[in-house]
Parts: sequence; structure tokens; C-alpha cells
Amino acid sequence: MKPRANDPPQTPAGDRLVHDAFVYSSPGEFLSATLPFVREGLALQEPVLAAPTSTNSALLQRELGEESARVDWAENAEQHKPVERLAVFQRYIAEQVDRGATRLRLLGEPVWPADSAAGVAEWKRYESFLNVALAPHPVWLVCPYDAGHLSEGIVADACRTHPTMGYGHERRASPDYVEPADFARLLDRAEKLPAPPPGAIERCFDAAADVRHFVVDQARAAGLRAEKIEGAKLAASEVATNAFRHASSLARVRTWLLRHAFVCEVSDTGSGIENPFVGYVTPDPARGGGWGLSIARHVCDVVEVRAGPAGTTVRLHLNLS
Amino acid sequence: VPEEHLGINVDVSELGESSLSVEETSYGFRIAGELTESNAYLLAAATEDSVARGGELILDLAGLSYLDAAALHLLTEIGNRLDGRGRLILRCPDPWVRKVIGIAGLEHLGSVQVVEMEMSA
Repeated sequence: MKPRANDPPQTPAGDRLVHDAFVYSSPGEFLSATLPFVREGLALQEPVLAAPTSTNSALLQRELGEESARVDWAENAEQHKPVERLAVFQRYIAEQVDRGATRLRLLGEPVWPADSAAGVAEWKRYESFLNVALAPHPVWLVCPYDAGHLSEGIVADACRTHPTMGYGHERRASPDYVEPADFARLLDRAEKLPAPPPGAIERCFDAAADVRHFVVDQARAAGLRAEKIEGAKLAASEVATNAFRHASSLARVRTWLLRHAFVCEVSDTGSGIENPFVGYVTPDPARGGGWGLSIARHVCDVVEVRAGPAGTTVRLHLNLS
Repeated sequence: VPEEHLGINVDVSELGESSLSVEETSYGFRIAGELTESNAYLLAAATEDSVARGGELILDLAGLSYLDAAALHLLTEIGNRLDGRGRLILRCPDPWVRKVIGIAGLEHLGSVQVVEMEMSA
């Protein structure tokens, strides 16, 4: 059914973020919401940025035909990590608002990893954090969820991370929506960090340079590619530097191998980090500062942060292939 | 071809610290080693006069193998201070250093330019 263009429930107004999840189970259903969403945006002269899966991107482009050229398609959307996706969104919003846009549309499908529970949890955390990070912007963001292929847990949490669900006449407030800070706490409780395997190697350090040497040796022995070794080195060093600066004089570093990834964990005994979404925002270079954890999130495949009164633990995952 | 040395030449290499050399050349500064939290102040001190003066500041990064968030912070600060009265040119970063500079979005500052290949004399 084709929704009417100016139906109030379909087209939210206002100058702040509107963040919807749309659950679909067939290509036709996907198009039934995304096609009018994109077309209406173009008709209203609103900038439209799309970051769907490659399959859905092809589907949409075919249906849009010539109009497809007026949509901004995010590059390498299927390779994005949460921190990269958010950086792409924020840069796009800033550019378009600079050019005078008063309302924008974004279409974003997270890149749900098939083989990493930690990676899935981080994308859920990102979905929730969008409600904070993009809150002040005049953006309508629709996140399609593929019920046919995604796990029940992923689809169920879409109701907790999106204030509104559905599209067109079906669009309504999500009764299960949870405030982002609370959602992060729920997630931490549900996704306890599994204990490292017995073969994990453990050392304590008081200087970042020593952490770098150790991590490079371990990453190399694990068989990581050169670029991933550099990533592990930089990320571990940044996390350790934060620990030395804000928390404790010693940092405990543990490394081990999973089937798909090299894991490096840095723990301190400081008083913890308040912000449950630390490092998701890439700092604006015009203002500077605070790159440590953001860089770590950019160069690692997954970064898990667990902070409490007894200290902070950061786990860096770097894929072997 | 060896460059003429123009006074400033810092070389730090201590156990547990990162090794960094900052050398003043006819065009700016040549930086080699690892630029980190532990030694970024050396580059800040070496470039202070050039930044205060304004104009074009060229940093040759060909010998730089590593930089961290503190180093990015310094480069950003230099770029922001030169905004409107000069330019920071980062020359020949190796692929990894280039990637990290890109992540931080340094070249989104109007006053920072990254030049990937050796410029002809």
C-alpha cells in the first residue's frame, strides 16, 4: 500500500532527530517504505544519504532509476564500523546544513557481523547512541531491519533503540524504547565479557612505549596482517595512555586468540569512565582533542569498553583476515 | 641530498620512550621516528617560532613511522593556529601515518594540506 505524501504520521516535522526502525521480511516490503521515504525527500528538495546493504542498495537504485543520481550513497557502507558510520552521518549533516539544508533524510542499515557477538552488541550500542549523537540535528533517520535474516535478538533490540517503529500509516512510538544510557547499562549486563582462554598472556606495564612493543610482538606472533598490527599497536597504546593519565600508574595487558580475531585487553584500576558511549564520536578537528578511544574504534574491528568503580577494561578485537 | 641544518635538531631516544628526531631544513622540518605523547612537546617547541610567524609550514613526515592521539592533537592545534594566516603542509606520510591523519580528518581543516608524493624541487 502506498502511503499518501503529506500524511502527518508519515512525515515527521520539526528540527530535531527522528529515528525510526522499519522491520521488513521481503525485498518488496523493504521497498514499500524506503522508496517513498527517498522519493518524498527528493521531492521536498531534502538532501538524502543512503547507507543500505549492497543488496538493498542495488534494489533501491534499480527502482529509483534516474532519480538515484540525486541520492547520496555512502561509500563502502558495508565495510563501516559504528564509529565510521556515525562520522559519515555527522560530516554529511554538517556539510548539508552549511549549504542551507533545513531538513535531511538518512537511510542506514547497520553492518551486523555474522561471527561476532561483541560486534553485534557494539552495533546495538551505536543504534542507541544515535539518539544522543544526532539529537540536535534536523534529520529523519530510518533504519531498516531484515527480519528474514537477522537474529531475533537484533530485531527485538531495534524496539529498544528506536523511539519510533514502522512506516507510513503503521508508524508509531515504540513502547519498548529505552533511554540510551539505560540501554547501555542493560547491554553491559546482558553482554558480560567472556573470560579469556587459559592460554592468554598477561603483563603489567607503566609506560605506553612498552605496551606498544609487547602488543606488536603478540599481534605479529598471532599472524595479523601488517596494517592490523599497526592498528593493535596504536589502539592499545591509546587505551594504556588514557589509563596512565586518568586512572592508575599500572595497566594490565592481556592478549589471546579467538577463531577469527586477535584480542588485546587493557585494564586499569581507576574510577572508571562515566560516558557509556566513549569514543563513538570522531572529534571535530577544528575543536581538537579526545581522539584516543575514537582512533581505537576506527582502527580495530570491535572495541568493547566496560567501566565500573573498580576500573575500566577495554577489549580490542582485530580480525585475522 | 643532505639538507642544510638550520639550528634546531632534536633527537630523543631513551629506554621506554619513543625515539623521535626533529630536524630543521631549508623548507621546514623533517620528522622521523615516533611522534607520541611522550615527545610531542619537542615538535611543539621546535615549530613554535614558525607557527607564531605564520605562512607555510612544511613538515616532512617520510621518516615518521607512528603517531598517536597526542601527536594528532598537536598537528591540529598547529593547523588551527595557522588558520587564516598560513598553512600546515604534511609531506610524504607513510601509508599508516596517512591513514591515521585521515581518520582524524585533519585535511578537513582549510589550513592543513597533505601532500602524498615527493614534491619536485
